[in-house]
Amino acid sequence: MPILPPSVEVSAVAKWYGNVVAVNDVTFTLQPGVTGLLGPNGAGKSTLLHLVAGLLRPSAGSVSVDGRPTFGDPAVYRRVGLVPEREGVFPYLTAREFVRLSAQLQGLPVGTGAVDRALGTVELEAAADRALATYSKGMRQRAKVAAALVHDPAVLVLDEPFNGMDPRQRLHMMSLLRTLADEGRVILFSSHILEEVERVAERVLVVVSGRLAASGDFREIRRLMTDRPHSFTLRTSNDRALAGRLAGRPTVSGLTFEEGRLDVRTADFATFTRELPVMARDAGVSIFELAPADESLESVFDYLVRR
Amino acid sequence: MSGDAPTSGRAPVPGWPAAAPPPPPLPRHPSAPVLGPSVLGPLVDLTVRGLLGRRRILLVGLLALAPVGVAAILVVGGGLGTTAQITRQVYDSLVMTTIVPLVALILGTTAIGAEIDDGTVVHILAKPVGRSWIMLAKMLVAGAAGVALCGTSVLVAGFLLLRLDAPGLLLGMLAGVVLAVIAYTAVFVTLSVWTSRALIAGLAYVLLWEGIVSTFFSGTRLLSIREYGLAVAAGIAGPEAGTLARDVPLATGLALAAVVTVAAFWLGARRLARFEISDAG
Repeated sequence: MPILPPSVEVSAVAKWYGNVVAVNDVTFTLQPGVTGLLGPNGAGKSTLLHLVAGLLRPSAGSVSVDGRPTFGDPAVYRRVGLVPEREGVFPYLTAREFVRLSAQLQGLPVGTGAVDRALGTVELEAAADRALATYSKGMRQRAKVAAALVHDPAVLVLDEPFNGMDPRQRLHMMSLLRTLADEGRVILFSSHILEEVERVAERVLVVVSGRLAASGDFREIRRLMTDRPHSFTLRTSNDRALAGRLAGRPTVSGLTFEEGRLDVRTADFATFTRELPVMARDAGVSIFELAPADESLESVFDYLVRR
Repeated sequence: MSGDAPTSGRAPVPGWPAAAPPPPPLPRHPSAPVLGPSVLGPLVDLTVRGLLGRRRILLVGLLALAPVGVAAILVVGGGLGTTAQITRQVYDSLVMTTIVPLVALILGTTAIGAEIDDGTVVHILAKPVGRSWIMLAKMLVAGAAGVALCGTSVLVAGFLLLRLDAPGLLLGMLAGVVLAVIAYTAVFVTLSVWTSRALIAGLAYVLLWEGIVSTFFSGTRLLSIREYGLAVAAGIAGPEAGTLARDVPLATGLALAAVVTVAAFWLGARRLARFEISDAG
């Protein structure tokens, strides 16, 4: 179905609160399709999304949708739908009333079926006449999505949409986002979970400490993340024997031998993980434990920022 | 950013249908970019349900009914002095000094302040809705609820004390309450879009400014909503006003209350038009 291709431009935007810089000199353009905004908690993702959605005034730079600055212009919400992260929904409304309110505040004529359609899109028809106060977190999330979708926006902004969802709901939401994107919409969603972004987004913006650390095709960034040096901690039946073998391999770039523990660094993640079991078998060593030493998301982001 | 085709690099999600049936298209560019009067009904409805859905409405109700309780005790126990004089005292030192401002404060800050606090205001702001209509809906509901509660209370309490002996005084007291409630709620709704500490700021205004400063310095009476209400009450009560009589004439009280209400509305709408949500993270 035809959607006028929206243009979303974020240009050298910054947001600060007193001395605290939340977002610093971020520039990007959104294209139709799903873009994931990835970053650790507190990186400025919500601030950035709220800037895009016109709910925060940029301290510097500009944010525009279809060439119009988003802040202070309610007309922008004709084209933009927002799913905020905070669970805040009117607890005394039913989901149907909540979505109907959204339709009324969008000026949709009564009886177009838009409310039922939006509820159907997020599979909430069965529970639509229950008060939102009785909803689980995941259901509330879906009710918010339905309310944001009711006017069929060309731009959909979602803040941590997968939070509080069970795996089934998560899959459904992912498939929904893709469907909406395939209809020509611009979808921007934030997440601090790499796998979520990987599964649903074509393009990714990585935000760390308020700055855009990386942007582009997801596979590109995934490769950067995979190819960086990795560290592992090993516990085995014979550390010394395995260390001897590992020391001869070109994939191993560093080796620390400590009492009851072996720390290994590798520059080639893929080859190393293939070689390790073979070497252990050849040496007759049993591996009790193999743990990535620096696999926290923060260290991944850290690496991307330092690059 | 690389320009991949939108469908590349994405595996299908197992177990889920690829796409929902395509919905019929909606008008993409409706004529009016920002909605006006048509949203007043839904916004009023939402605000009413918000007030009724919160437990503090019970507190407000009890507070508003306090003068009725006081009147009942006075009638049963038998007061000192004439009944009209007691009524004036209850009105001046309880209803207009404490009950009306506090009821208006809680209603005014709940109408939109509670939505700002719990984040639900986003669902109203992220809509193509003229900001002054949001402000109007909030003020209408808070004002109407306050008029209903305080108006009923002052009528019942006044009737218990006065019967129909002084209808002018009863009418004047009612008019004073209505005027004060409307002006107070408008100010407090606006206060809650200007500061997240609206309740404290409102209490400071009522207790410190109106309670102390206006009592000791007669010049500041022209800057007190309570005085506007009392001026209207006394003006309408006429000769029955007694100790309620004020040096501020009825017309001045009315005009100043109107100015305060309109100014509050204008400032509130203006602020809401540049409102920034605060839960950044």
